[in-house]
Amino acid sequence: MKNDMIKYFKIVGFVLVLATVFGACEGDFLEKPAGSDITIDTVFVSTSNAQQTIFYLYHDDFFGADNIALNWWDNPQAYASWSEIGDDLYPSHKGLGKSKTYISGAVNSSSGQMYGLDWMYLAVRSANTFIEKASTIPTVSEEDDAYVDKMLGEAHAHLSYQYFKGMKLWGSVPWIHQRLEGGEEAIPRPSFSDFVDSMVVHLDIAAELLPARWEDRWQGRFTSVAAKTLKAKILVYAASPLYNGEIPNYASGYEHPEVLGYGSFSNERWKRAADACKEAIDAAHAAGYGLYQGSGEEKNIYDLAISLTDEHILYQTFESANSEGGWKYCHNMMNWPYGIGWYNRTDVMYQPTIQHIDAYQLSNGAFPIDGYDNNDPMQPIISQAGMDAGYTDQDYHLNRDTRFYQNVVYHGSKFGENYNNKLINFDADPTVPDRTHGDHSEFKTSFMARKFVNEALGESPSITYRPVHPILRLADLYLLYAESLSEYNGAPTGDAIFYLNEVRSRSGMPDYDAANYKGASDKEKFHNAIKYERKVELFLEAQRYFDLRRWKEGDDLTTNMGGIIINNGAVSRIDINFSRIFNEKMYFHPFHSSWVNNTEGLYQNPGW
Amino acid sequence: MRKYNIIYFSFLMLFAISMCGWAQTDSLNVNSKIIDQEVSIAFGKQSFGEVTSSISTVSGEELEKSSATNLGNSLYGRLPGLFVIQASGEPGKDLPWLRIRGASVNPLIIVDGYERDLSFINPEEVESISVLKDGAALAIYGMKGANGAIVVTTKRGIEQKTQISFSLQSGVQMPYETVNVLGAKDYMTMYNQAALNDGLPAKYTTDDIAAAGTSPRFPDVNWEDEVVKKLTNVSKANLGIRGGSNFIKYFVNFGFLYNDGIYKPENPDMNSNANMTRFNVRSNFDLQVTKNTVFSMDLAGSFDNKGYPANSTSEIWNAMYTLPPNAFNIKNPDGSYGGTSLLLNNPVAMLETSGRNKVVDQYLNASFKLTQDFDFITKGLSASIGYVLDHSANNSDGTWRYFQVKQIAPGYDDNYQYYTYRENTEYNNWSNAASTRFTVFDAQVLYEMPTANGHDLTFMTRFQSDKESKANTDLTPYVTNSVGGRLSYSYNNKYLFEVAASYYGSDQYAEGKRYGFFPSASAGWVFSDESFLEDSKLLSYGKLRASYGITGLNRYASGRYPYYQFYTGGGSFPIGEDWDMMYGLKPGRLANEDTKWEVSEKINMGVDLEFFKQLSFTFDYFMDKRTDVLYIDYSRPAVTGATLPIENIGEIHNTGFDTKLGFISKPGDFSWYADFMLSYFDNSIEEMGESISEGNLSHINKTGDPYNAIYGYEVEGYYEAGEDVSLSPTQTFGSVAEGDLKYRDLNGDNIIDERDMTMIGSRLANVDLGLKLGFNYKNFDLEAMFQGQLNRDITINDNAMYQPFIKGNAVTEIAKEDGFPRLSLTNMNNYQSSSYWVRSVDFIKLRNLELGYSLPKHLSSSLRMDKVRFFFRGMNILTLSDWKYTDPEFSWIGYPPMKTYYLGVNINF
Repeated sequence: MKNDMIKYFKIVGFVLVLATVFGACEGDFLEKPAGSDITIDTVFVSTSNAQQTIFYLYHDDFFGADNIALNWWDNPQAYASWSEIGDDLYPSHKGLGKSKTYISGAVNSSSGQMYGLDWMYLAVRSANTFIEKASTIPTVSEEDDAYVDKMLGEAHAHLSYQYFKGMKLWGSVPWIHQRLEGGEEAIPRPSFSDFVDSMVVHLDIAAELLPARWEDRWQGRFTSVAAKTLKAKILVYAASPLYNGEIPNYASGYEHPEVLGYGSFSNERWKRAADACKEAIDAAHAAGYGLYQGSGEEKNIYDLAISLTDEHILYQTFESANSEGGWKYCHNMMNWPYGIGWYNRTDVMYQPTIQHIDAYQLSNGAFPIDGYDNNDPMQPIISQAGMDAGYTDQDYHLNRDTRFYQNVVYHGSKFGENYNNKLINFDADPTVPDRTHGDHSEFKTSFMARKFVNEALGESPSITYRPVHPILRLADLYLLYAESLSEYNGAPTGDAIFYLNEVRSRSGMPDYDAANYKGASDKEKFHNAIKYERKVELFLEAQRYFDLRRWKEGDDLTTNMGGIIINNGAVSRIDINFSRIFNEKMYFHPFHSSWVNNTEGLYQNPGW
Repeated sequence: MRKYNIIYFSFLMLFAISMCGWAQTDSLNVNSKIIDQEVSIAFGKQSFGEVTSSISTVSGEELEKSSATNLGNSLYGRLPGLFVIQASGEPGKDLPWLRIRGASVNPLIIVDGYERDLSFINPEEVESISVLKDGAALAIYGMKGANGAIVVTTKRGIEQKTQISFSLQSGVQMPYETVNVLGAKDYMTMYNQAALNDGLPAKYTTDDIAAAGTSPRFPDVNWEDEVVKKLTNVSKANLGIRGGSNFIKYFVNFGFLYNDGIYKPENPDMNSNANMTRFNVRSNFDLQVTKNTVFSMDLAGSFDNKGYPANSTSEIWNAMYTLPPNAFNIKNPDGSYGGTSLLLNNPVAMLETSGRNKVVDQYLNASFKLTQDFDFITKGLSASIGYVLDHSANNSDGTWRYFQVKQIAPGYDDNYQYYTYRENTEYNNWSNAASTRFTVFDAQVLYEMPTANGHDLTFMTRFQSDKESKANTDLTPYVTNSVGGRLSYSYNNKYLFEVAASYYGSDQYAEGKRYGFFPSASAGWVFSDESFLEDSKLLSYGKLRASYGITGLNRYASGRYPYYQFYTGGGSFPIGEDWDMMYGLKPGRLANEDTKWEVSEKINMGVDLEFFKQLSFTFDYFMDKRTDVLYIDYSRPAVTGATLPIENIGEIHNTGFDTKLGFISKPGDFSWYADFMLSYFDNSIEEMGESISEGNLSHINKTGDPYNAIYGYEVEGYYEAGEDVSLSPTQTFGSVAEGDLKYRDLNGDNIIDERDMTMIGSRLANVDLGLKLGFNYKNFDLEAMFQGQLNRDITINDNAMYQPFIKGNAVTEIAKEDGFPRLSLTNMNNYQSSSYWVRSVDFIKLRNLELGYSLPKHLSSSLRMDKVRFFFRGMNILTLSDWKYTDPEFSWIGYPPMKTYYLGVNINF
């Protein structure tokens, strides 16, 4: 027995010695080795790290991308541009993007969303984090202090920018003004009125803190002018019929009408909008912004779409691209006529429909097409002015608004400067020589987008350019101002007509003539003039979808799309068997049901 | 090169030692009684009779009957509880998926005591492979054990005269199944039908269709015929040397493998075919340094040289099966490659001109162990310390270029005009290198108390620290630490008890939360030794076993160190006059300081029986309850605006059984044997952080389903002519017409959309069968090994080769099958995930068939050889399945599994 005990102690002793030896190293053994990692605790210890959290907000995931026709594939969120839905386009890659359910009217509360609430709040969180931490950033000089203040202004501006994105889609969304941990009490959707006022408050703060222009190396960041312009735009939206009035009929009985709009009309909202527009315009002029006039009436719009000008108030930039492209800039080569330049690709992405073409004014300011046959939506009704001008489908492209030539590539047009004067040839007959038609089965309308396509790129792979896409530009602001003035005063004032004409004359179009527009009153005629102007001036800038909704004119979106076919030179209209459908309840998009299920206070919009 | 010097040095040493010729002894007698068979367990061995946990084992000898180029592929149908799922047949990419008892990822793989790669081990080097399945067997692997373990033990030297075994085999490989896609005539006819269905004019005239294949203007290409060879070669050689004395014991093995690819087109500039060449060596030796001290040094190295075409496998096979047969010529009359603006991917051109990739994988496993007997302290006590240095280097490089394709322009005679797409470019080169290093330090104390009065006691305790560094992908090493032990006690070899536990830590977790305790207990009762059964003729052996244990899973599900909130690079955009790129910093996942390992609680009950000493039966029932499974909690509010942390909130249950029935006839001129095994499990996810839908949407919930379920629409039937379309719920995937699939409106809102999806199948086979039959007659031996899996579904709706015209060409038998929905060129209504596309791929395969003939003893000894045996071996040669269009285990597009026939010879000196 005693022996056993000794044996036992020997063993235990042996084990203990070993355990001590190895146990000794246990302490730090599993500690994370020090590295250059950045954590929430180290990111705000220098302005250079902190500024990177602001740069993140300019990332196209949050900032521009869903506005932008440049971008349709490989995007992490796989959303397409709102232009694809709102502008009259046949998107040949319609099967790929999330836009397809929006176009077909099949969106519901469980389908993939173009811009998700989750993405919006990611950006909101980053902005709030900066606002929370700004005062803790150590600074070493007055210059540094000033820089932190400017960045704080940017954070406030981005906060409102994101919420405005949300407002355009859903109405008001829960106003989050701090970094959440996920266990907080429910934060319900605020009233629309409060929501708009909160955005305005933050933009006012931003305008105080931000410079009117950044020094050259920081060009492209939010400025006080951009903050004021964004405020003006938000107030114009808020004054528009969708929000400024009774809630839409389809939503009657909805439990939370206050999240959708003001609930009653007040003309003073147009005044507030007009004043904000004026303030923004004055600030822009004072800072040297102006309509781009540098390329002549026939090129101004085209050039401003492919280069940075003094008209750009807020914009998304992309890395320099050439014809081989980065993945972000494929709009250029995906909308490239076959056989022009060195790059023989035959993809055809955004094809304007014949309805889009029909909408352009004649160069005298009159409309050639008055609408479509009730029984045959492919059959146009040619207006008196159209007949007077000798309009025929065969010669549809003669004497149109200069922006038609700048926005659209069509059969017989010229493309670029240095392609031996080769003309675009979209003839469908394969025996016709020298076609610039890739025989892509999805080439349906015989039109291609020209705006935002840099025609020089095909000359050689070594030609590069800097893609830039406007988010806010001065022409947009002018039109918003003109609209607000006319709405507030019940008829266009001299200033309203002046700013509309500024935009028209820049593209060589004659001054506003009420006789060219339909409408029972001067205000209605002027509204239609604004509607036309925004359609052709802001083509592919993702404005029209939201304009039509704020005007409660979403029905305009329901369209049977058509194109033309050219057979040995002869033009005829064709139905491309593709329709876009707008349901009333699309005025306020659905929240994804999983967000609603998880988020107390996030009331689902009516009808979903 | 330093690591090779180590190998060379060790071989020199080894040969020097063996040349000296130490005393040699006769080989050991092997006792055939099953209870004495050794079974590998965690860090040790037990005899079968002592085992109380759930372990299945297969010997290396048996594995040699499979000539698999990857050791994983030799395990089909041999080990109850282990599901082996075949992957591609591409040389060097044929590692199968290994799943134990319903686990969703590969088990822990242990080679000679340490975590290592299975792929470069030859069956000839293997002593045995054990599958550890229950809590008791796995407790000591703590945080790494939850998914079970496969324990490979390689051969070691034994005290005997040097034995040399040599085997050589060479064979032919072919794809198991050729895939039939539509020929041009069928394609064009059906295309016209699809166009008509879409309201478009027919594209091809009857003249066009009749002309298919008659001139370059009307191509009719069967791409598989052009790209895939009928046969290709695979060869293996192995040389093993095993022996030892009372001073040194050694096992040395050399392996060689060559496996050629199946592509037919050749690139004149380089070898663009898939291929693999492997050399591997292993030397295990044990040196009796002093009377009480053994030094063991195990070195294994492998050099894999693999080649592949520059285009990815999926690009090549996609092109083969989805290019319309009439789209373009392989080569045009002017010698250029065919192609169109949208179809640039001519697969013959890819292989002939694109270039090639080369991958060189080098592995070196080195372990050193010093074992000291402490009999002088007390008898049965010993201790060892070990050090492991494993190194793998993966170097790849490639050379590639674009090629030009041409399309014949419309026209009517032999005067061909062309459209040209893309230009030939020069070759570009790239290269990449990666390496990992794995080091282990361990120490162990073992006390085997001498048997006294029927009491047997064994105690083992150990410490181990693992560190893995991946050189250029992740600079921070992965570190785990553990202390563990096992105490086994038996009385009269009849009543068996065992407890094992480990205290395991990982650097993945926050301070203070790094270590977990993983205990287990098990017991066994050999009731056949009880007096009432002792004399039974019928029952020669009988044991009941039961075990309970907790193991863990140290998953790196949310990257490293989830207890920190990191900021990472978040996009870039140019800014300022000079368009300088600015880089954003983006907040990473929210920190979760409470992250820990996943926990698996395992209960196992088993019985081992043997009747007449010939018929054996093993049955194990198990329950595996996973808790703290890492999932994202999607029920958090969406307004948080953060990437949500991964949290230990899930729960997954697996229950099932595995069983094996074996028979061995009495020895004689004719003897036969048979083994049957069956494994089954039932898997369900009890909790996964899903935001649960209620009421008429409850069918969309995934909680409660198995983890690999298929979700989609239930097909109610087809739309009929007339008003059916307008009267039925609206489908939102494209316009519908007569003959289109009609889906069931599960939530009753008259719209068919995502909210009507539900579980329509399960990708997870949950029954695995194995049947081995063999006999020996004089000098002949024959063995057949069947294996099958049941309850396995696939869904083919999103697989390009089953979508005629949507993605190009399609598999003939599918496109023409009865009930195929209305053809369309673009309408996706019918290609939604739906029950129509869910197909059962249950199968039974003849995995191995082997016929051997051994030279009579007198002949072989006149050749001064112990044994000479010739054999014919077939692998994957026959499949029974309802799914006939591809290999049922490989229904997607890619390099398919191969069927192989070998002729070979084994020679033992």
